[in-house]
Amino acid sequence: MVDKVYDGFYIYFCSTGPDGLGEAMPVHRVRFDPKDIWGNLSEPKSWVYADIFETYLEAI
Amino acid sequence: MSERFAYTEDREVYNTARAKALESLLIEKGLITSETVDKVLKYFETDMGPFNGAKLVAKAWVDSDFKARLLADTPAAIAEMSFPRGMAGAEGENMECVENTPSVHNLIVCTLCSCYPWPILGLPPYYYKDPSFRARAVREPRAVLKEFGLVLDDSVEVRVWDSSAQIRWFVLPERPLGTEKMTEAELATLVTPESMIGATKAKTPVSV
Repeated sequence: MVDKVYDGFYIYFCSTGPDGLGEAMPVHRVRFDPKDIWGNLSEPKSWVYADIFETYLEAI
Repeated sequence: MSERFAYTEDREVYNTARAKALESLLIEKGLITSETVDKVLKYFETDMGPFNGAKLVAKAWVDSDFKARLLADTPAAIAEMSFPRGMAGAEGENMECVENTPSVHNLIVCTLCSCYPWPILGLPPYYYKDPSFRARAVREPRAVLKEFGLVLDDSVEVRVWDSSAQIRWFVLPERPLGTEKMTEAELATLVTPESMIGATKAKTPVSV
């Protein structure tokens, strides 16, 4: 999985229950710079925050 | 994209007929009673709805300590209010509040479906469930807000929160100018569900 992620100062840990993705795992709040996702189709001065289950993230 | 997700003209009529047919069938099969649907609807009319959210915002506007608590530990602050039972229930288990200021505007979306903080805002409106809104809000929030009638200055930072896991985000809108003399109850009338999603700002006293 290609990671173009800003794990900025918004990493956050909330445990979830088992729900099909596997055993309880942390959910990380990840902040994206939309430029990294959509290039110049994105708007300036904006951020996208998503709550992502750890299993979807790859440490680099 | 609007073409791809265009609604049919008879959407309302069709969906009503379908809902009625489903309800009849479920009653016939003994899975629900004729009172079940009414009961659930009533719950959303009296217990879980934007009237709760409005009270929450109004209180945060007049009480800065409460506002601080609301932003720091949202579920605990909500539990302080004498809301009906069930605030930490369906779609309310993990609520988080973000604050709009003159320099930061927050917008909530659920790109995957339409996750919404039911206990304090009720059921989500059509626009929030619309695939075009859900797709465009993350990539071009300012353009979408402009279509809703809200024009943000270029200097304002826009934050889009995708409720993609268990957290149910909502917005504490800015307190409108000219409201210094209003009571908490009067302030609550300015708080629309759209303003608590960040799709608009709260109403100004003139437009009430």
